[in-house]
Amino acid sequence: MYLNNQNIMIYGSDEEKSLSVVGITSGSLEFFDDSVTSYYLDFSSYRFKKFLFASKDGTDITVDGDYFDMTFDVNNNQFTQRLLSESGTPSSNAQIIRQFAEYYPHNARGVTLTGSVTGLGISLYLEYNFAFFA
Amino acid sequence: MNHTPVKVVAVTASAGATTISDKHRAIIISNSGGATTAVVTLVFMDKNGQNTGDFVIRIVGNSGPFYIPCRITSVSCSGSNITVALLV
Repeated sequence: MYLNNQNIMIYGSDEEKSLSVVGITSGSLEFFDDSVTSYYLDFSSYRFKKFLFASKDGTDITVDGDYFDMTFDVNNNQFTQRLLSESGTPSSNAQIIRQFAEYYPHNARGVTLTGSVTGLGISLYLEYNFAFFA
Repeated sequence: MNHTPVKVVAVTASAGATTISDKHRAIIISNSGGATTAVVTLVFMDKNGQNTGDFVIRIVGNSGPFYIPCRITSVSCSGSNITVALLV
């Protein structure tokens, strides 16, 4: 999407255009080395239609490889986010992974986040934000 | 789902805090800055026009664009080459 042209038109639903944020929550998760770790985040206390997820600014996440895969399970629908590594390594092996934001147009009572880490040597901490729209 | 056009009313490439109009419906944030690292802080507005809190996105490289379908009262960017498009 090219944003430097003010004449472009982007399509969005009427519902999306009326959304407001009804809550924001944040926290951190630990993913253990050489294993697959899953967490369930309970959203049942929120009444919302859609949510936005972003990995949060904080301690740089490092991976000893090219990427870290994290899978969202939203109402039994699977979404895999691949957090890519960034050139400019902070150490000889570890690389900063690219953080991201993603918008999910789904009602959900919660999400399961599953991440896998291999060969890192230490646990990976992921700080996150969720914004809830209604 | 009824999809209707959303018009881009303003585009700004910014670093530092920017207060934006409360008349927009959504914003798109993108980073055209290659390896630039930026922290984008959004302050959301609820249906009553009150701030609901900060939401932080950290952008490394040319990730995005991020479509945020909500009114936002301000955008603060550290770094450069961050483009914010306001949609109505």
